[in-house]
Amino acid sequence: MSFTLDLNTVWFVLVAILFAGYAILDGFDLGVGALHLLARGDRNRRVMINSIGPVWDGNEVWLVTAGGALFAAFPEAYATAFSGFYLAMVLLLVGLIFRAVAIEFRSKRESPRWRRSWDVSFAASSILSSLLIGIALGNVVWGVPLDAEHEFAGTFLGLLHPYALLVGVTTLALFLMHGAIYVVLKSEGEFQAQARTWIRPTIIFFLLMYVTTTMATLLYVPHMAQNIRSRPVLFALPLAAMLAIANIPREIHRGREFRAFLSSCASMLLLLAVAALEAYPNLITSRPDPEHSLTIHNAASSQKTLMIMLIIACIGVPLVLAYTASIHWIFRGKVEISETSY
Amino acid sequence: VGRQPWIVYGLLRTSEGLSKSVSDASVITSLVLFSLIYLLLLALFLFLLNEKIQHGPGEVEEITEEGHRA
Repeated sequence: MSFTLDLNTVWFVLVAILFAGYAILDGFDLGVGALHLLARGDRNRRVMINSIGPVWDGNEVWLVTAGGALFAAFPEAYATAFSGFYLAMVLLLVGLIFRAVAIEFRSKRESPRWRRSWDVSFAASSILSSLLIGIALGNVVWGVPLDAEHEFAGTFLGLLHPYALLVGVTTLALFLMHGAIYVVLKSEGEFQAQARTWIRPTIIFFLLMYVTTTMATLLYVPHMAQNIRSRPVLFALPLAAMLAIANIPREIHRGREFRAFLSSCASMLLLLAVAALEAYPNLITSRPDPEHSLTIHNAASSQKTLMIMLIIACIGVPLVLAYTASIHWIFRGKVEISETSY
Repeated sequence: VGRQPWIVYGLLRTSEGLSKSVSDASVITSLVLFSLIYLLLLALFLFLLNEKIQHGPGEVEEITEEGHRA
């Protein structure tokens, strides 16, 4: 394998950045959702929902952007993934729909039964969505059966193999930790003290899952270590990921939650960077026939399309980064519940 | 532009643009599922809307507060 800085590689990096941005941003609001039922009492649950209230939908737009970029730059990979994972995508959409509706509808009526039903819907759909996103990542890492025409040749149940499920649970654990730190940042008083007690167990849960997944990957997915094995200097990347993860409990121990949150963001970025680096130049690895894999070359649009889109991306990506940063800045600080809150 | 039998007029037929790995059963399942979800959400929406209408508008202060909604 050789790294050449062509347009295809630039687009591979761009698509990877968009997916990483999605994981970091939607990661904390999915995590808050997954933790939702741990919050007791109506007011605390409203704090949970309103902590992500102004930002969660903007965060989800990153998934749309990442899907759109994949469609435009690597249409064959998009076609294979979206057709092949059809039922999984349908399930993910159902999860995301009920999550969104739960956030909007929950506090519209006083009835405790109404609110409890939406609380359960919010938590269950957040957990389901996190698992499915992780399972998708697990399958991309593991490889999926593709035929000679790059069509998906497996079944939906075939996507639920132990390694994919392991990555699914690891992703959920990561989001739980990420979300727990976020809730502490956004809450105050007694509830903040309660939310602080969630951090330790979620960190331990994530660390166990992270170590298990790393071992399983090295043992059973040898093609995911080739690129770094052939260029030892790249070992700096998984090393940086490990240091970022180790820094999370360190910052928590010192009571610096904001730094812990930044560390958690950095861990997600670095872990996905390792996965992307190892997958390169494959977009969707074929297993058991690696020669049927979709790569950044055989799945790409024409060079002209990639060039035009790169110009658009150079204008669009800074804009997206700017509005994402400004919305988080505007809504910084602790959650306040008012008449018009969720 | 997307007139049958063309999915891209004059260039690509619908039959050529079909996903080979998605079965008829999957398509009908998702179509029925999403139709049911949207009907359920429509019913809930109308229910909430009706409740809001029955309740009537709030005090003037409340309306100005609405205007400040983020």
